[in-house]
Amino acid sequence: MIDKFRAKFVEESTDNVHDLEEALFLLEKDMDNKELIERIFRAMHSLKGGGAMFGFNHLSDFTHHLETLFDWVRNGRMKVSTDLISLTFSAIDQINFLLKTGDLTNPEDINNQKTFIQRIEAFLTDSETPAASEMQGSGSSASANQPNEEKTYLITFIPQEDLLLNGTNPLYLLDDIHALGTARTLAFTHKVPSLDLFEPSSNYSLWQIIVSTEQLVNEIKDVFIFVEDECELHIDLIAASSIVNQPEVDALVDKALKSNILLTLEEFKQEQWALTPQPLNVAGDKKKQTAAKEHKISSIRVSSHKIDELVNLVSELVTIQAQLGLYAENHEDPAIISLSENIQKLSRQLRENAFDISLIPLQSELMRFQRLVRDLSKEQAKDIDFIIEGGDLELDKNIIENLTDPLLHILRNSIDHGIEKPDDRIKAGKAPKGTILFKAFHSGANIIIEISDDGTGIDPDFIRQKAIARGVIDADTQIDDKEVLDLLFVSGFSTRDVVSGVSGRGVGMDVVRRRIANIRGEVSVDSEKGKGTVISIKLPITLSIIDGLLVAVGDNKYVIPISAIDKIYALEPQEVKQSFNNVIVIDNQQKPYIDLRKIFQAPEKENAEIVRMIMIKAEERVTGVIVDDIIGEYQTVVKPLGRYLKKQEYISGASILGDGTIALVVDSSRLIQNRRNKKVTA
Amino acid sequence: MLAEIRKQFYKDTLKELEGINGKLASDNIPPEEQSLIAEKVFSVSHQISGTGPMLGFDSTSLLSKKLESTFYDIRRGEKKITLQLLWQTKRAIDAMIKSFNEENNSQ
Repeated sequence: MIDKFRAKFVEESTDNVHDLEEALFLLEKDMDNKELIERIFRAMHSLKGGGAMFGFNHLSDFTHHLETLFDWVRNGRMKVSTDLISLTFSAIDQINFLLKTGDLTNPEDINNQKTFIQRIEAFLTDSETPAASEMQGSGSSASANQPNEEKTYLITFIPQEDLLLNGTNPLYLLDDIHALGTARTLAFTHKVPSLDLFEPSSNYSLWQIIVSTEQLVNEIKDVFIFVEDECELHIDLIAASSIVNQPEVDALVDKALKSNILLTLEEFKQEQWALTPQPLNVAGDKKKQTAAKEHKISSIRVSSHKIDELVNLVSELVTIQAQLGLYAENHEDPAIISLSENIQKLSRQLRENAFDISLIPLQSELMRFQRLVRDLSKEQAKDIDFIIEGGDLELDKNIIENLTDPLLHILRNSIDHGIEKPDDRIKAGKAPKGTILFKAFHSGANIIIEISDDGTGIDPDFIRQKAIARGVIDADTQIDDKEVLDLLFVSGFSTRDVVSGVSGRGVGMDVVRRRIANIRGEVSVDSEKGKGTVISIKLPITLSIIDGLLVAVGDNKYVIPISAIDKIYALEPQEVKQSFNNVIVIDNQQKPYIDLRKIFQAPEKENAEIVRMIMIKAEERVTGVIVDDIIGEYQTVVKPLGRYLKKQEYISGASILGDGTIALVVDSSRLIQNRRNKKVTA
Repeated sequence: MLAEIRKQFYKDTLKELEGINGKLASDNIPPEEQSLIAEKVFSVSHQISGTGPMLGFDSTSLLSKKLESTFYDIRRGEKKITLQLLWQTKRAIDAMIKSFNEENNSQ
């Protein structure tokens, strides 16, 4: 049981650390922002308290020191500085480490922690500014409560029915109002329901109080301070003198009590001592804003394991539904067909809902990127403005999990190879501060992420020379600049002569491409020498279900993702046979193609009248794919292939069809890529 | 283990709440004392709001959230302490102690 609580603490603390990091980034830009300082302090305070409670004693001790740091900042004893922010960022790393490992046992770790705490203590000693050590709280005296001239207020107090449930006794509040001066209380009971609907624990009464007091209105407001979210409260000034015992007031009170109708301001206005009533406060208005929030939980935390399970079950349901569809079609029973169609409709909605739940905003990972840019640019003495656009876009959590490392790698490259040092930038006629723009946006059923920098750009000639030197291409290979840039994704290709801790090991961009391809994404690079580089990543929104086109090749069935399909042509088998070098002429245009029948070693069908060529596109290139026949559109639940078939290049997964047979999902982007690299000869 | 944590939390928090209420019972609280009490109310209510729900003190946490938010405003200088406010705080803490005891006994 306690493990469960510890796990929950770690989970919540991770959010807290995230919040802390975010606030710290903002504080760096706005160092006097008290709200941010308070936010940071609270996050640390929670970590400290929770840590001690759940057995993370080292964490608690560590955050205690940090908390002191920000307590000093809060109280004006210390000023926010870049050094303080850098120290806190490093401390966040330590907090993450402590959350991951729990209490330290390794002597080296213990020593590191000790050194860190000494650093914090030294920081405290060095930074104290005694002149500033005045406490904030000095202003919070009761001076605002100096007696005044007596005035009369009409208070309308309409509590919610559940007021009593939190232990509030409204009669105490009425007593407290009476204690402020001379008061008359009117109780209204018209909301009391009939006996069968009466709940003893509910409050059905409401009150109006006419009070003459020397106290300021804030004193009256304070009486209701802890119930203002549970009531409608109006405090109106009705006279600039004490009128509680005036005969006119007696008459008004009698009338109200007899009719059980609340007094209105209009009634007071007609009297001789009237002044223009001024609404003074108003829990009612605040209440309107908060009403929607009450008793509604806007979001819940669910373990990702449960979401995976839900998505998996929905996937199974989609498969079963396909079986039912097939059965209904074969038996031609109208009742079953109608049932099957309804289930199809529902399962589609359910599928969309379940997938929507499994999407998480990209924002959740952005902090790591911001941190990388900050730390690395400082380390390399570069000045970089990191701009994020579209951070609120949502992606399948599995995609996000697999995307983080490639994105970190790309950013590292941008900082290490791309953005120049300020002096070099000035020499090149640029602003000393470089910019990296991280932009995410929707494009059809995909999401595009672009990382662009205004750095030095990539020189295609330089890449070509390197590629020739490394034997990646021959000296006489004719390729355009786009294809040259594509060489950056070839395994082992690095243009960096010096291996730095950041990049230059040649195990970068090919891994990036492979990792992104694993989540059915594509990556491309575009660059202009001296101007900058743009890396674009195209990703599907979700991984496990795709809309596909079911096709036949030989005796087997394959699924081609519909998002990759551009056009479909019907061809005579003869046309394919007579074509040369896998290029066919259609509409006076040469179209390259890949014959899936050859790739999958399916025998050509005798007497086939037509074959189909499906034009598929990836990375702005279109290639035809020859198949025997098209069966139809198919909602496909993609299952991984498992270890044995992992090396299979052109298949990205498998799907179980309604009749129980298996269809393989064609990896269209891999096909196009390999054709370009001349690996596919079919 | 959890029962132990819960017991300790109940014991410590109750002591703190009663301590605060003892201080609030005085008719005349000097301003410097008021700031210290305010700070204490904030930290205890913050603690209850954060940990209470995990240990089954849901109703008490609802009350403590109100205190926490009010005293948060006070710390930030957005709200002033008045004797009336301290008096209402005492009332709220009385209600919290009652609910805290009830929730503790019902488990």
